[in-house]
Amino acid sequence: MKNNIQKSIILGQLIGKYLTHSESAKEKEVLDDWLNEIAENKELLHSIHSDKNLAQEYETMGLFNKDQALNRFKDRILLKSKTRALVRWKMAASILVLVGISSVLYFMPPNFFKTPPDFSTQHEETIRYTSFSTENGQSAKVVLPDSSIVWLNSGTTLSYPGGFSGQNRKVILSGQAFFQVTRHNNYPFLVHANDLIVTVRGTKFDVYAYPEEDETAIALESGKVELTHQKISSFSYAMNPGEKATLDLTDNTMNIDLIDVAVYSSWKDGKLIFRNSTMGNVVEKLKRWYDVDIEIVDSEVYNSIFTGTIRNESYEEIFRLIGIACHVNCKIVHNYEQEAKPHIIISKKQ
Amino acid sequence: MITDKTNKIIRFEDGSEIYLEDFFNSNYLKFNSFAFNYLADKNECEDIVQDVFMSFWEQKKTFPNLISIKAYFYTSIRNMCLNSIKHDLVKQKYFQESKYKIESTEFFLEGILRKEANGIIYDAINKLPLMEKKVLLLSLKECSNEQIANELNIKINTVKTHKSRAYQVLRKKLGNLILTMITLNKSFFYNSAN
Repeated sequence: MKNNIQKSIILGQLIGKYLTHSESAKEKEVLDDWLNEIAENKELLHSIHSDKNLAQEYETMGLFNKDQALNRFKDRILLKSKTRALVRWKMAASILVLVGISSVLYFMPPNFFKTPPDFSTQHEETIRYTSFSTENGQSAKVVLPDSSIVWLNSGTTLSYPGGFSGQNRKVILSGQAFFQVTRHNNYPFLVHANDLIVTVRGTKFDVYAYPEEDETAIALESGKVELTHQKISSFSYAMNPGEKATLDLTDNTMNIDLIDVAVYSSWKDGKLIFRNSTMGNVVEKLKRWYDVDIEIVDSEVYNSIFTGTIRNESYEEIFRLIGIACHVNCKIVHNYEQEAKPHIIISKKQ
Repeated sequence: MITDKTNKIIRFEDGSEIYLEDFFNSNYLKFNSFAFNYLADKNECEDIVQDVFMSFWEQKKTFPNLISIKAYFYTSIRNMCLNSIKHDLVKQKYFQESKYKIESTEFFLEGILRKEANGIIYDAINKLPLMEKKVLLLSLKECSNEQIANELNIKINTVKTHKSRAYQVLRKKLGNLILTMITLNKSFFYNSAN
């Protein structure tokens, strides 16, 4: 096996040199011998030399960013060298920190962990709403007065009536958000998403409820939540971790799927992960993620399936990748004069 | 032995040496393109290649020569890719193809050969002046001279000049090799691998 690997490397280099006119006479001889060994070898050479293969290989290599990777590699090496030196200090320091935490807990006044005071405007008749919004292409993290944390994905609004407090924890969501709710046994946390109500004690979950879409979805990472419906009083479902409940708003049917919630809600860590996702789904998410317009001209494109992780790539890079991975044409039209959003046209490959 | 932490010198048993950074630069794209044979996720390929470079940096083994280091990289990358597929079957790129094929030695060895060859071709194409490179790449995509002229907004004669210059670095025809088309499903390594 080891010898075969080395043989492959050497022969590959010979073929590369031969196809770029840079082989020596001796190397040509070795290559000729190999070509005469069996007919399949000649076939392989022809397949490497075909225009289609050369064009495709060139494109594939161009997908990867060498300079960025080299910088990352250097950073990792530096970090590793520093970490080695730090390990001993860390061990000593962690003991000090442990001692520190226990004494802080001990000396803390007993009412310290109670919730902050109610800041609603109690004397007014109308209820005041406080809201947080993100535009398309943005995301944000909000810490609520009860110290629950909410990550807002792009194009999302989270609002709550003025009286949000440790006792009255009710929010209204339009868009997608990930909740990490602080536990309070006596005071449940309520999320209103379209007509769905999610009742929570203390847990982590994702709510997907864009008003313009036909479905609302809740994905539970850990803990327990209960779903009820504003209009259908008989409806109630207690979710288990790892489940995704999708309510189809057109016919009010509910589907339960088992999913990897960490992957599903990876958007909150600045990542968008697709695993065999349909093009319709990919397009909807990319529109908001990059704040671009996407137009699909051939319906065949919807049959494509995409797998990939988007971290900090530009939309130009992503649509180039989708073009290659899904065998479609992605054309980007910029409209600088009218300051309009970039427009991407996806069509099938001829 | 280590001049700079980020640019270690790799010494071989035969006395020759190479800078790690140079090795990274001349092999990074090739290794990723190789990992892409196994995985559909471009970022995952980059993570795997990055991790193999890290573990190479951390280990202290000496290698007889450059080829043996490359063999180490190809083997590690393949193992990590197969491992990742095992953990998450949906990641597999060619799920329509059999798992058997992806795990086969033939697929592995042919992948190495192709990437080594194409690495050299890729570098040669990239050394061309910009216009010649553009003309060559369009011509590889089976565009006619006229289409290329329109696309790049140049005259047809200019296309022809660029093309003939570009093809000085890339073999246009496969010389005096006699081609016998045989459509057997045997890999060329079939004999040597078994």
